[in-house]
Amino acid sequence: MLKIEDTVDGIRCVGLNRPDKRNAIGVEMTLALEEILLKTQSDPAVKAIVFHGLGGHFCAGMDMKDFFDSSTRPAELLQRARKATEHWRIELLRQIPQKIFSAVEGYCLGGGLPIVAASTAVVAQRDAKLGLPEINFGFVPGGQIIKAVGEVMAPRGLAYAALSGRPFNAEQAQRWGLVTKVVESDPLQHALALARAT
Amino acid sequence: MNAQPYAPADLVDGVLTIYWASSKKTNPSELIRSTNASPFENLMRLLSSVQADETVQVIVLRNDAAQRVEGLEANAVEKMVPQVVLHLSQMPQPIVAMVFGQVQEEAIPILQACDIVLASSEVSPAKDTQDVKLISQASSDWVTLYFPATELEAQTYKLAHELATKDPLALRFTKKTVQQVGAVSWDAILNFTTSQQAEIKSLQAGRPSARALAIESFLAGKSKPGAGA
Repeated sequence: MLKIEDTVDGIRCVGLNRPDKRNAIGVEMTLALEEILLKTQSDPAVKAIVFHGLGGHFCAGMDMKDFFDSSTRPAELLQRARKATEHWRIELLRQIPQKIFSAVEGYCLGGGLPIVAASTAVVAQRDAKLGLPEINFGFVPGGQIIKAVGEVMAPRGLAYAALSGRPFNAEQAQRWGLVTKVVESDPLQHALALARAT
Repeated sequence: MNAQPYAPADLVDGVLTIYWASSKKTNPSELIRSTNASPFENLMRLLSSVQADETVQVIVLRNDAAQRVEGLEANAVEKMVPQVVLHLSQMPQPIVAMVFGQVQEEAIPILQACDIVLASSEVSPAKDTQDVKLISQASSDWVTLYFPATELEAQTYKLAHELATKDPLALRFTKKTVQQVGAVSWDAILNFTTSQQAEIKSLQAGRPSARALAIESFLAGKSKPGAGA
């Protein structure tokens, strides 16, 4: 679910690795995210974390098939996964001592946005699509997601994204404060360079 | 007799248009045509009257291409703008403002109280006078998106009608979440979300729901709501 690579200079690359689902965060991935953040926060050898997605997308949000009311996953596992999600989303991402960087390409939606919002710097490929699509399902975006995104994104952009459910591109995300740098290709290499320079 | 406070033509598929203008003749609202009150009072009365109207899903507050948002007298501004802002912020429906040309500085808090502001990208030279101070939109952060003047109206109504097709409860609760969540502490955020979700689910239960249709379509692989329109 996650591809973890540590560089010799103390950067931990955390790759969301579920390309067939555009890296949607399902039960196993959310548990893995909690685990890696818990491990990393007490690891003095790790100076920075770089999040990225494998297979051309950062993250399509939470895997709704896992977390819808109609989910067929065992109730106990679902409960654990929900708890883990809130743990890494509300506490770990915000309190971890290492700086976080994100390299965004393809989709970066809904539940993937708190990772971006917790980042010191976000490098996005020009054709990346970010957004809060929950309203398109008749859902209300979670308060945790709106709060995290609202701490870095212009209120105008936040209202537009949440109410319309429309995706917005990397340049627009930069204007609204969610993205630091827009690049033509290979955002991971740019994010790594920023992490090394910090 | 028209029981509604607006002309029937002003409400199209859940989108109510309210013209913001100093000139009554350009305002098609029945209420505004029928009173001698100030534009502020008319606007507030109209907003109050549609607050609980379920046929109004989205409000477009607009001016015309030939008009500037102006004509506000200093005394009236000081007294009335905060009240208008309060009315706007208490509306459960999303409010999309459509702004052509230039905007009188005093009108900006009103636009800031709207959820989404779409403005024309062509900025004509500001003509400040002693009474009316105009500002350039290009230097403002209260605009959500800019469009060429020729596209602004079409883009505004495209967005407004898109919003009006969303699940109405989800739309209103999303607006509430965006408005309120900044004031909720991280410690309390989970309780806030849980109570919001419980409330919306109970209100959606047993009624035709865009939510149910969207989930069904997604699970059947027919739509990918995240991909947008």
